[in-house]
Amino acid sequence: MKIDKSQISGKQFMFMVAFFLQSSALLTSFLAGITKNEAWIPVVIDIVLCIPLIFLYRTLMVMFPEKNFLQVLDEVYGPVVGKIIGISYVWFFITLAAVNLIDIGDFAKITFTTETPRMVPTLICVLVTVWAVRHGIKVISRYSKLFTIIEFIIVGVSIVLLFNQMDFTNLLPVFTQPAIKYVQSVHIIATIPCGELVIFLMVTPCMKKLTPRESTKYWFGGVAMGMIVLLVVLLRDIAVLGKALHLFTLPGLVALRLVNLGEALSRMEIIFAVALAMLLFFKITVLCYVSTIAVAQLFGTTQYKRLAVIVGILIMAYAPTLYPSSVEHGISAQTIVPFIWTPFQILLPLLTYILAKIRKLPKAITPAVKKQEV
Amino acid sequence: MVWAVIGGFALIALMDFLPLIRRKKWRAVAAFVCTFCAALTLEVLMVLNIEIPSVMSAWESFIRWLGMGYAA
Repeated sequence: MKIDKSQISGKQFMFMVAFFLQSSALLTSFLAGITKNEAWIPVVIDIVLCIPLIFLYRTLMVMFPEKNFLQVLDEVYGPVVGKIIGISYVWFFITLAAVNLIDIGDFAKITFTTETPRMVPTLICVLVTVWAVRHGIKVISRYSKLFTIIEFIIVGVSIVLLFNQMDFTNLLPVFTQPAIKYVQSVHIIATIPCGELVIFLMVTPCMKKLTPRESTKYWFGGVAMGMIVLLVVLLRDIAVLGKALHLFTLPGLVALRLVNLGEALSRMEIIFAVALAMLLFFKITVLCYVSTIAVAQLFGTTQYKRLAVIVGILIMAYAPTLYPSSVEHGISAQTIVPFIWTPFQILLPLLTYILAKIRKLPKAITPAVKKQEV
Repeated sequence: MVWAVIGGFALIALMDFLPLIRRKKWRAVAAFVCTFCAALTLEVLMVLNIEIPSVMSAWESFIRWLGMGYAA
């Protein structure tokens, strides 16, 4: 059963992955609070450590090109256990979308709409997201390439404008923190931006036929673009803010506030704010789409467009129940969330891959079975 | 406020639920009803200022009980 009939190319997929990862540039404050001005070290370590994880996702995609991840679970674990794990994944996708919706609400409250109730920007975001979801993955992916390039340009311009304020000695000294702090930071990056890419296993059936080599190219191309932007943004913020980095909720915004090249080029943070709002909106759209597809898959229906609005509203209603304040949200993301996400992002996909290999799945369809299916 | 929420949900039902019934897409109807009930319950509870227990707090207790989790 193919839920969304629209198809995207490998390149569109690559830019979606890159854009999705870039949206984590907002999370630099999570890391800054732990490893302070050494926050760039865990990102470099993670670029290497995430290679096997991305390869695992790519392999699952290549092994089951016609199935989304919930269908893969059904095939590997059987219909009962597969459905139970599928329900937990639906919760995971909806929670992920809700957490990011909290982020955009907080972000809007700090930057654009300080006097407006948080519900207003959140509701607007959900409505636009739902509209995009109803139009399918093709519409969602269409603007990812353009926005990825815009994001590259914004990051590049910001570096040029801030170059006179950068002090690269802020990146040193290295490895002065206790080892557990690096482990914690590496775990956060591995689960929060990198592991979240597991959601792209839900769009597998919408991909145009790719060879394993092309799949590798597009997965790793997207991850490389996303992680490089994340690293560059972090290096820029550390070089500009130095030891004060961990004091700010949005270090990137504060760094850009320091741009001052005459009277015309000052208060540039609004560009960064627009870029981040764009990134977060895209991330929520992809997560909302995946949640809707997952709900439709769980009930065995293809009518996902009719479910988009209600799933969006559920995400919006569920978000405020997660954390009483943004401070607790931040602390939870640093201390607990990596442990909750690990089974969904690393352990279960790995177990699924091992079981699929042991059970020699996917089974080759014999001509007789193929005829019966038609 | 409760009536505004109920009105909003009625509008969503009118837009998306009735076409599903008309086309006899029963699986989609079941999916819609489950999601609709969960969303409506959460929204009404929130509007009535009734405290909803946080799933993440439950997870936190569980993770701490397992002896995992990083120091804040």
